[in-house]
Amino acid sequence: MNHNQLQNFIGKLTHVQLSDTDREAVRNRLETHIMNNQPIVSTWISLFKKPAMVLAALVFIVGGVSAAAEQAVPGDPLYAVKVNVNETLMGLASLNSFSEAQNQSRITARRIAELESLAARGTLDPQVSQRLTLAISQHTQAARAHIKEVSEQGETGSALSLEIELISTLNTHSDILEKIARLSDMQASTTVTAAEELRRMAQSKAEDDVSTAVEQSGTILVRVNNERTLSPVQADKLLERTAGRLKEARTDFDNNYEIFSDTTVRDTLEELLVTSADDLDAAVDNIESGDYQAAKEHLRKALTLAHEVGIVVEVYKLYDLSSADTKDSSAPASTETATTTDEQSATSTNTETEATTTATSSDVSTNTEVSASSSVEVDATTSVATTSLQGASSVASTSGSSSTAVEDSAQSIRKTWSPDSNNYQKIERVLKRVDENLSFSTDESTGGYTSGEEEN
Amino acid sequence: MSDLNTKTEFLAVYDDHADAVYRRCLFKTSDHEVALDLMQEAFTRTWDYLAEGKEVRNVKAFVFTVANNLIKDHYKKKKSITMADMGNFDPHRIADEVENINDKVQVEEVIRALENLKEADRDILTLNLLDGFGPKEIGKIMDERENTVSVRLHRARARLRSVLKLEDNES
Repeated sequence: MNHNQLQNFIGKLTHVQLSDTDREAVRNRLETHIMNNQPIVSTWISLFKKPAMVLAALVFIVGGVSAAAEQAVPGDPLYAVKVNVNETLMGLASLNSFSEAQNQSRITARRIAELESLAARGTLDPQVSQRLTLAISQHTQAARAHIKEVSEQGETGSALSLEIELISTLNTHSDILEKIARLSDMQASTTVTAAEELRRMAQSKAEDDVSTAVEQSGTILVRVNNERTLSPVQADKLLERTAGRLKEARTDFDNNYEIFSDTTVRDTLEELLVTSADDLDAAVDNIESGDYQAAKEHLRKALTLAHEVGIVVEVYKLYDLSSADTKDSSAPASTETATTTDEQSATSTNTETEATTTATSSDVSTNTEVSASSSVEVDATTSVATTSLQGASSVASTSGSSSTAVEDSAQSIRKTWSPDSNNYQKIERVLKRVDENLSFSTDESTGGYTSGEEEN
Repeated sequence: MSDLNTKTEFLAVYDDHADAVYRRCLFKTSDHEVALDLMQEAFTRTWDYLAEGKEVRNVKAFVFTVANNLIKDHYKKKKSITMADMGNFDPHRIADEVENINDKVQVEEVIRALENLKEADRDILTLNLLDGFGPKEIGKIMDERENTVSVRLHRARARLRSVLKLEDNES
């Protein structure tokens, strides 16, 4: 048998082909991916062809105004710059559905932060609250529309990670707002209404949207025990994002360890990080054994918890470290403290006055800030616990059979409230394991060939 | 190759090579859904690479290389499967993907012959005789030296010939 005969013989394998349906389905998803991931160079060139964009960019770079505007809340003179200039520019950097979804989620979180800031100051009036919740709702919907696009491109793992983080953001901040409302008599009902709105948004048809898109992408899914699940490649993407978020949250927690003057808060956050790492570890086991459905549920829990910790640390940084905002936001807490210890309250007020007038009193000022905000912290401690437990419950309600496991982990958080010195190493070990698991796909899938290309 | 970073050009690449890349993934996994997933990912990553402004001289070989690495990655994750199981070649599951009964008979005939060869021989033979890659390209795809591939290719052809001769004699 000569070469041609062998070629003809093996050539019979060309009968193994894609069905027209599969070929077309993948082609459509690829086309959507291409549309949403246009070459970077040409995109930037086209952006800078527009004079208005150049002008806006110059304002952004040169002005410095936009940096100052970042702290603005509704009613501040620079708020319009924050929303109309800064956020427009943030949007320009979003070149595909994934980054569009991230950007919309980021803006959602910014509006929520404004709500919290006003609520903490006791200056959240019903009209502003209504405007902000409407904006939050609109940006949430926009984020979900982009998440749906990501899912329709077959990127179901990335879509799921975006959705989980969005839900976690809304739920966690809803709890924080409720706690702020309890601390302050001023505008408490408005704050509670806003908190309820956020909860409602979190519970809306988020899961349905993703599920529908996942269903539409049809053939890309692996079917195990007749249950829809992630494909191996998509499970990797969810794994990668979850590990990344856990790493961020762990680093953020670690870097801000000292701001948690109440050890209960600190220990709880630590425990949540460890629980997240446990779920991540279990997900890697699931992926190795090919059980992608179980991996998905573990990753959902791990990402929800890691994201919650990240948010809580962010909120604590804001209330503990900023100067004017801290004093404003802790004012209701000081008032509450005053009802029980008049002497403490008087000391606090006096020192704050000094701090605003005398630069040399910075040490005293710092101490006062801690003591003034301590009641916020103590109460928010309950918030952290409640948040995580409620978050776990909401996960349970969407994940069916895994609900018992989630409730169990929630129970174990309640019981094992004490710190564990090995926690840090444990999280490190899991993150390292994920890194090793992902190193090939992220570094070498195209890189291996690139070096070969260069040799030519 | 710079034109490849336009939608039309890249979709033309997909139209030309989708079947070949899918086949490669199917031969290595024997799982239709996984093969489809890996095939899509190979094209997606190739696009992302091009969209960053990087150049690719042989796009078909590039997509195959990405696919090959994704396949390795797929098995690396599933640690319950031993390395010996890599290239999970299941003749029945592969032939099941062929609908036309006459075509299926022909495919089964080839697969039966390939089943008697080592995985490395199957890889080299299909990449060469089915997908039209020379030793240099196969070397890049499989991360092997060109000379090594040439020697293996020569031997693999000889082994296939002997398998077919043996089958002819038996029948």
